[in-house]
Amino acid sequence: MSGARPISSLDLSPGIRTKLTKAGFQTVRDLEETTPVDLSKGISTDDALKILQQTKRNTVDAMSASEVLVRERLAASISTSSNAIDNMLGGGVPIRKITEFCGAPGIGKTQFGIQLSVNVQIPETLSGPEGEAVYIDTEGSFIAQRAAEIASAMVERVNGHQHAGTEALVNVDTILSKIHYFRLHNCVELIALVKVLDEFLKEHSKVKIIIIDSIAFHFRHGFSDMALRTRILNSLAQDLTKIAHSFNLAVVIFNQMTTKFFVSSDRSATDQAILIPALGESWAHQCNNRIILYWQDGIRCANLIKSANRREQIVTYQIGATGIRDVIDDASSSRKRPREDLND
Amino acid sequence: MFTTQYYGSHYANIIQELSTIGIKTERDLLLAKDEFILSKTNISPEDYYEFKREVIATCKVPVRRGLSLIEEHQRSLLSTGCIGLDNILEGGLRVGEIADISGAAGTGKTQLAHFISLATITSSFFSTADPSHILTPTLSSVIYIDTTLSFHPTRIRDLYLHSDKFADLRDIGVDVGVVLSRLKIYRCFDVYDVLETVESVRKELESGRGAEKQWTEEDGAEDEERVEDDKLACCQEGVWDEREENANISVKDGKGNGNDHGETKDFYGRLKLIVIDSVSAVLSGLVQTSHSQGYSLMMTLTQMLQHMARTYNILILTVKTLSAFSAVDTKPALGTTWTHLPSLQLYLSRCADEERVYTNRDGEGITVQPRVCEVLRARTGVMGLWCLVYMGDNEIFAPEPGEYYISGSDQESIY
Repeated sequence: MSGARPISSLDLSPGIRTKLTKAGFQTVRDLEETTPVDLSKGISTDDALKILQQTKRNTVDAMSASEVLVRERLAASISTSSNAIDNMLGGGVPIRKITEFCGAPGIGKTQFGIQLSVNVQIPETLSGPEGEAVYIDTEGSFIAQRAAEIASAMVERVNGHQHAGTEALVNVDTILSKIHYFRLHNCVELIALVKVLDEFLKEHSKVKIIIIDSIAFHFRHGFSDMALRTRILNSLAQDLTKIAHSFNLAVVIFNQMTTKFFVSSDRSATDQAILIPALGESWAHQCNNRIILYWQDGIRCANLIKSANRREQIVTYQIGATGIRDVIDDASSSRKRPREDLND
Repeated sequence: MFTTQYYGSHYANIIQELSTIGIKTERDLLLAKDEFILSKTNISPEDYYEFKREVIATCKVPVRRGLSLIEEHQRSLLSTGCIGLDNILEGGLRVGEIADISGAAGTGKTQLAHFISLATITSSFFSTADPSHILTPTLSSVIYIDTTLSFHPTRIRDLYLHSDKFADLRDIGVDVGVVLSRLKIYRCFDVYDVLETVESVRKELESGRGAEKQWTEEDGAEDEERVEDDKLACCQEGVWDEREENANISVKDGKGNGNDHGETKDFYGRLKLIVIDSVSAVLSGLVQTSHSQGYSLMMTLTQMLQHMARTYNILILTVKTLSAFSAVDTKPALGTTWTHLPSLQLYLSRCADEERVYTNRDGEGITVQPRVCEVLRARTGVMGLWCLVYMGDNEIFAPEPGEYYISGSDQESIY
């Protein structure tokens, strides 16, 4: 008899929960037999209906691992225009996952964002996702001019691949019109936007990527209660995870870097300071993939430090007038960097 | 609460009568005086005492003998698939418990959970304790509750296809599709989804395990002991068999769709492990000092899990993140309340040790990185033990303590 789900675990207001307990209902099983009419003797009919809906809520569908495997194989990833980075991520930025790029200012985070919001529109004939992009800008760093530049480079490439005779389908204007841009000024706006994002996505079902540039900006100041900040970030990440799963899209988040000091216990040794991604340890768990961007010997490097299915790896890339590209000069052999510098 | 569904429609009148005088639950009935009830209602004493016996039978906890407890304890080990890890756990993880893996981001918690899932599915192929299993090994089932989209089907397929651990199985022709079909994924994004999922799994187990004939006798016996009340003393063979048959028939009659759900029953009948990756993702938003409902949900969830683990002999493996409260120290998330809940807590961390190269059976060199796995807390077994777990590419293994060097020649011994 015991072991069934207790009433206390239903998503009900405390008042109703108390009433149910007083009326002798202990577990969900007790509620299964009752009708709204029976229940509404003590509480309003609306509440009674709400309770019964809770117990008959659509259960989460189970899938066997082999089914999931087939399904996830179908999803096209979004190319970054750099083969090296695409290979590192297993074909591009993965759909239905949260991918985080971290890096110091000027390393090209926003460039990645613009590139991805353009690349998500590569037509299906060229095995692209042919979707739209949502760009959530918290720093005000999105420049439409730059987006147009990258878009025109993409148009050139796409139309170059079109078969002779077919008209060019893509032009810069349509590309820019398919980037949905939100400019946010504080973290309240960010929280609110994420809460209503599913409404927006229902109307724009072609959206395949959500870019947040950057998550850290509004969370790095004005918070005295760090526990509160952690909680807000966690629930934000949980909402994004749900969106990524239910709308089949990729979520890309940019994060800033912060300095961490190590005071060495040994007096003769000098204290150390290293750059680590901002927002702390608990945020680090929320993303499925984490990539750190940094400079080394004048070359931009990308290091995958967290991934469930790809090995940790370092590759190089460059940013030119046309956007993100591979380093042409074949110095791009992946070099190992001492890991301690990157991880705490 | 009394329901006719549970007690049968022939008690409908009594239940109705009792509810008019405010007796609605088992607790109400057992605390009330018999004379009071009989004087206030029109129920005949015979019917009343019969009903009361029925109620007592449902509330009663079955008796277990010390000997069977010890046998259970020895039988209930579940290998993690890594020899070194099994050693520090004194043989492996125990079914009927909640175990917990925590660690910083990117230390391989999910990797370990993936690996343990795979090792559990194929566990009977590796089991040495029970020789009968080796003759006819069967695949076990695993449920993976994924709250952060961290489950990766390609990853688990590659682990099976490329890891040396499963090389023997591949050689005897155990197909990867069959292995993967024993793993069910639930994707949940809030704590209510998780509770709902746990409840639906429990229902499946409840309806499935009663009819499982080949399942261990003790499980069957427990179920019947709930139905039969005070005839415990007479457990002669004859009576036993008869009861078992009765139980089987009654369950079949009740459901009547045994064939349709043969596959589901088979799946839940062999369910050995439920992984929740990660619990902190759904709970940490709710658990806060000013709001007690989050704690209540957390406790309710663990109670349900604990009950399920114990009743159906399943291991529950939770994966949990870290929270950093001070600049230097990190500790498992969800505060001190949670630390009392699991029976076993493992803690993964990076270590300064060098990467090593492991040569697999096909002669490929694989770079593996070491992680330290420490037993933070254990209800049975020794606390504070640790071992190195090497992870890289498609290999996860923990060599025996002291066996530091990994070479191609003694690859057998690493698992």
